[in-house]
Amino acid sequence: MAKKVVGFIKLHVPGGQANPAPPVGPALGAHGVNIMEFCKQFNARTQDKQGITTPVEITVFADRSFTFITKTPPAAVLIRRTLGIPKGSSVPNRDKVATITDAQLAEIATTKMPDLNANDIESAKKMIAGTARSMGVEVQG
Amino acid sequence: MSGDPSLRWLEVRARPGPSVAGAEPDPDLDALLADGLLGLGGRAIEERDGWWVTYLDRPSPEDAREDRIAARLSEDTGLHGIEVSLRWQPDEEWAETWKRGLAPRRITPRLVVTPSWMDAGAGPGDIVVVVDPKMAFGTAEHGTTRGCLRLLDGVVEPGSVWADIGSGSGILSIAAARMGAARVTSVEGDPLACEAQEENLEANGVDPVVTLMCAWADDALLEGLAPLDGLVANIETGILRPMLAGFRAALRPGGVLILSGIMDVEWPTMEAAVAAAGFTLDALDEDGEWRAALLHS
Repeated sequence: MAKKVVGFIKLHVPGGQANPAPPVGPALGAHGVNIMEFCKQFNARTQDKQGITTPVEITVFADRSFTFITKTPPAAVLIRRTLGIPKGSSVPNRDKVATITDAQLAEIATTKMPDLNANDIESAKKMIAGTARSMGVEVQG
Repeated sequence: MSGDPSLRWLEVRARPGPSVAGAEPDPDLDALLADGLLGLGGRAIEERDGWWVTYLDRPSPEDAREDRIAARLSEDTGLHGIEVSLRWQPDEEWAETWKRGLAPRRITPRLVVTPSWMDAGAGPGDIVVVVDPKMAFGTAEHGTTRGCLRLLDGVVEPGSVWADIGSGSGILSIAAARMGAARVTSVEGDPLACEAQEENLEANGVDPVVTLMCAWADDALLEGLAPLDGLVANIETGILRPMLAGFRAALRPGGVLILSGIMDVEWPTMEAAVAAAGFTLDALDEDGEWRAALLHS
């Protein structure tokens, strides 16, 4: 396969919910990508992330075939979802919006491991805890 | 292809202002902004030229204002100084518009490659191969594939045994089967491409003749395919060169080898490499910057 890359598209799509409406349709259509095929593949691959905003990077080749990779959702999204809070604090040092447990940190760290520059789960938990604090979430323990 | 004339979309572009954005990309900041835009009613977000872009259908006129949307995003995300830019976009049949420019392509006097939704306009004796662009390389939209197809047509003998290495969509295997090969082994290492190829083999009715091996080709695999009457490999020069000995081992004496994915500037080096590996050049196909070679062992 002589793959010559002619396009690169970055999207954030709720898991399991890609459809041809904008921005997915126009973004892929501009590169001649088979939109329904992308939606079918993306939705199949993100069934277990239903509704969670998932970053996806699509590479388009010269013959209009394509490939894509999904990234894990950002830590802030996973923290908000785990804790059931709509947003972080606008004054994180003063106004705390929730508390996160060690077990919840471990669960998020495990999900994020593929995309984190961390050697082990403890390092990953520290990174997630840092994000949580910057959102005004108190870290237990 | 226009869509619903009563529908127009509000394109909302947002980005963190200079007071918010840091020098380094911040995925959590991006996530906040993306979630804020989805909260406005967007279905997904595109990152485009430093902006986060979404579309809203039928927003009320009072909501379709940059200051209002910036204020709402600020309230929802806790971010201040967000820049917002708006413009209207007419509705389109996006599920159809991507097909623009795709049409049946007559590659040789008798070989036509067509997308599944179009009539190939084939006549008696024509060979039709149906392939849609999916998650596997190999459509008639690329010079490397067209070169292989042109060279295949004329060297596939009825009842012959072939292999297609790095087969992607399976287009070359399908063509070889349609040209009379009795058996084609299609070797592809990418599992997603294999899925797409299985659909193509079935759609073209060649699955009894073409056997898909979802595996990366190495010397042992190639040796196991021997003795082949012909082998086609549309990959890349850097990958093809170290495989030449394996190709030689897979082919019967005098067997046909078609190599593609070679750029014009790479051909002199490749020509020397195939000669050193014991192949003789019979023809060279040129398609733009791409070269495809027909050789025999």
